[in-house]
Amino acid sequence: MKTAKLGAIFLISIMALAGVGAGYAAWTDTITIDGSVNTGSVGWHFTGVSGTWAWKDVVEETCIVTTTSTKPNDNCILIAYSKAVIDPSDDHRVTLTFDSLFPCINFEADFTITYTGTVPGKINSIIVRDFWPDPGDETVMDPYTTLDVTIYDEVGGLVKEWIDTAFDPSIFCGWQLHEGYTIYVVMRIHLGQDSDLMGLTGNFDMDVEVVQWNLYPYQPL
Amino acid sequence: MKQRINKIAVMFIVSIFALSGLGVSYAAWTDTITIDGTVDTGELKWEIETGTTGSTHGVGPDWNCFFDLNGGIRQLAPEGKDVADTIVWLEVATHPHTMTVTINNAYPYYYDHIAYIVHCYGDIPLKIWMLNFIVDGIIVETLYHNDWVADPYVYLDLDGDGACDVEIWWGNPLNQQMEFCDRLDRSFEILVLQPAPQGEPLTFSIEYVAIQWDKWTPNG
Repeated sequence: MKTAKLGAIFLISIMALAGVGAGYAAWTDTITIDGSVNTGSVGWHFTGVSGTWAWKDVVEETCIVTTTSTKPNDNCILIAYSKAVIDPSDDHRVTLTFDSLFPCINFEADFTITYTGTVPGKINSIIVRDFWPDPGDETVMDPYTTLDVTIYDEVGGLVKEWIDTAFDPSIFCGWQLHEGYTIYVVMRIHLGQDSDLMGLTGNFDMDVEVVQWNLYPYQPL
Repeated sequence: MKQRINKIAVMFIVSIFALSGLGVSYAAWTDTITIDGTVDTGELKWEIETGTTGSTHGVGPDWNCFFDLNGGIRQLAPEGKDVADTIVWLEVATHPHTMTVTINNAYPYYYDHIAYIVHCYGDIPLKIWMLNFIVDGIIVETLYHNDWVADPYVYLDLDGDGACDVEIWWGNPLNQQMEFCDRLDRSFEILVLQPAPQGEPLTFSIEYVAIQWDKWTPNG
């Protein structure tokens, strides 16, 4: 009787210990490394525009040129204008319009770009697509078109400028921009006194790409 | 005479009964010795040593790696620019177990090397066993020693877009044994990859697990 009880207790003990052995994993200790990567950005957008309005004062018989679309006085009528307009739904797009140009006036459409990226960027490519209805228009217009381009740093200091530069976008590639830099661009058309320049129309499309500075020059795969 | 015999008999019988009663009420002679037992279990413990953590290029000019840690060229960033920063912070504790690595203003191909020393302060020998890489609370990859030998490079998608945002190269095997007071120099590299989204905070965790030395396995 006693032996049976002892035997039962012993057996139960063995089973209990076996249960304990199966339920517990090996001892471990863990070190944790928490990683956090806060990425910067590459980006720029148009932040300002201006233009040229040429008026005729019908009383004084004079030509008045303004930088705003406000009529100088009640005697003036608008003859021609050039302007830049930022797309209200996309501040990465600006439209330049030169309308009814005539000789001997600097018709200017200008705009400002601000670089807002926190990672330095370099102007990587400028792709110009001409859609002149008549190829001859492009050949005629290009000689009368110049650019002023000025780069300012984040506190307004001069970094680089090109004045009256021929329309050759490639000279701007490789220039580096930092957060807060601004680029002021004036596109100027000054027609010569040449009757062959009358009645011409045309348009163009231009994409300017900036790339993270450490990948310049960048060729997409 | 008869009465005397009867008395004696009665006394004898009573004595027998009395003795019988005595036999029942006294136990066998015994003596007891006592064994008091105390069991103290050991501890399996390791820590990151205070004062040993840091990044190689966290302050000062950036380093880049083009375009993958596996075979890529590690070099000073163009023009020696200091654009991003890596900060390594160790928890303040008697036995620190958590190190935080933060990269600010990161950009694709920004690279850094993180180093630290681990120290065994438990009395149970341990063996470095495995790594768990965790994104959004989910273990996305586990490396045991055999996995590390086959491929020590880990790619992590931190924003769930299907493209990997960072690459990590784990610099040490997962089979080293440490006894009490042993110290080992550890390190890993991290590279930000092109798919990393701009202007976003990306987080992950790495669990570095040691196991009691007699339970170590090379493949889980």
